[in-house]
Amino acid sequence: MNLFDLLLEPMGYEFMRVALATSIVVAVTCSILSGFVVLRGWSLLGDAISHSVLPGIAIAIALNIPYLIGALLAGLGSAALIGVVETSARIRNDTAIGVVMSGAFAAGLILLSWMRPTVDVFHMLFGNPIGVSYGDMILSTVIGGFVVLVVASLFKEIVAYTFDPIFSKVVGIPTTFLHFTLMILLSLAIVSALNTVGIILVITLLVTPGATAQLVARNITHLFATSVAVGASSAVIGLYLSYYLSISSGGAIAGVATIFFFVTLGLKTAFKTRRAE
Amino acid sequence: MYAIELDSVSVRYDKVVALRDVSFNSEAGKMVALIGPNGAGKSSLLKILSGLLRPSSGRAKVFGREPTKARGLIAYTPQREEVYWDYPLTVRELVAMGSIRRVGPLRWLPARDSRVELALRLVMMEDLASRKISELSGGQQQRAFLARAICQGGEVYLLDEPIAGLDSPSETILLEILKTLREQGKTIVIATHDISATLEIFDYVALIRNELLAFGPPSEVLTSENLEKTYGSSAVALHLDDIRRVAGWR
Ligand SMILES: Nc1ncnc2c1ncn2[C@@H]1O[C@H](COP(=O)(O)OP(=O)(O)OP(=O)(O)O)[C@@H](O)[C@H]1O
Ligand SMILES: [Mg+2]
Repeated sequence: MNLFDLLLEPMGYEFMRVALATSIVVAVTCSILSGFVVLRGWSLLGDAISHSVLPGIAIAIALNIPYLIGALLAGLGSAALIGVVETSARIRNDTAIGVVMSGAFAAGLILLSWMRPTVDVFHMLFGNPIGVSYGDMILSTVIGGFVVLVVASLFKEIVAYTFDPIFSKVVGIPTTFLHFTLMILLSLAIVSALNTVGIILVITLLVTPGATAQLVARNITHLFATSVAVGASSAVIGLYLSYYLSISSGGAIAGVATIFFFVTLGLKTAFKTRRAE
Repeated sequence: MYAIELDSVSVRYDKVVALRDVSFNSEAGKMVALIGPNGAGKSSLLKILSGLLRPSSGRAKVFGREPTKARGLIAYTPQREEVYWDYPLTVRELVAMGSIRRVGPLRWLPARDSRVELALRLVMMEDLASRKISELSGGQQQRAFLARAICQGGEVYLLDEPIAGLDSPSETILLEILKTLREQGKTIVIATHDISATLEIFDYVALIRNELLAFGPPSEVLTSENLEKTYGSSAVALHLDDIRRVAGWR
């Protein structure tokens, strides 16, 4: 078998085609936001939002409403709650996030173990792209399209706000609106990634592509392009690896992204030392 | 009409009174230095003038308008510590940010913008336009931020600590650029905690320590007694003697 056959064979299966398309869409969506997440140090915040999605799903299942809505509301709620805890208790941002994140996750686990729902909690936590349905794929694509559209139309404002919030206020950019928009986009991206990489590993897609890009970026456009390239290639390579090695696909995608980061870091360090010599 | 007007402005944060009853005015085309130690309320005063902060009492005006209604007239540069330096922004990208208001919503910044190039030329940074701002020296960074303010095209420049940490050649370059802006009729207000001979180029100096201790031309305001009131130590006053010698005042 040559390389071409190796690449083509899995595509003979419908579920693999859906899995690949969805994984790429999700990775691109997350990687675009990843630039802002990394630059603004929102990694932990992203992690908190993703963990808080769990009780939202549990409640939605109990109330028999689409789990997507529960997940989204819980994600936004936790972002807001962190803001409130941080300002009203005057404690450090990472402490506020730690408290809210672990509390919400615990609530989700309790609810789900008590209700014993038919959904597979393991798949929500760690993802299962192979099991992605046609509907999930369309949902992820719609969310991805929305995220791209919003970021593209507000790009200069988002960059200005995340880089220099005070200047942005002076020029009259609606900073509060932008902040909430970004939180909504972050929650949406996390929800779209539930089926592919899952709650725990989505943070890899929200942090690692941007972090890798930050190592090499020469300007802002370059940063976002690199981030998307890293995210999308991780999705493709990860999915093929999981097919041929029979390993967890969510894990493989996240793992490849991580390898990208460390290889880039290694190369960068090596080049720096060589130039210094 | 005054370019900037402060009428018994007070600023209170929860328990701290940052500014009490500050009043002064400046005509257009002047350079004003706000001088005072850390925590004196200089940044708070600039934030009032830029419309970021509402005074707890009193009123601030820019060309006769509320600062929030005069956004197109105001160019503001925050203190260094208040921006996220990790951003891989190039100098040109930073300066282009100054055009955001003019370009308006739902549009991308133009790839080539003559105002950006003009601003870069004014601060003598054309050669460094593609350099990342995190890879500039302190003086170059301040000039890049000044270029962004110039690109905004305002009438009143509010600059928070633009000369902090600069060596004297860089400081001279920056002040020369400010003088050029003044010649074009712009009003410039800077905050600084350094007292140096270069202050003589300013039209007005405001000594601040949570209240206005003195206001007027530098040669009248910068006396040993005033500086001792402001900084609470005679060390500064001694330093002043050297400055006076250099500047040739009185
Ligand atoms: N957001 C805030 N919340 C509470 N107190 C504040 C806030 N901003 C400033 N202060 C307080 O108000 C006072 C004046 O602060 P301000 O930043 O205006 O001083 P400054 O003269 O600019 O000082 P520096 O030279 O250190 O920049 C200080 O006592 C400061 O602690
Ligand atoms: Mg200050």
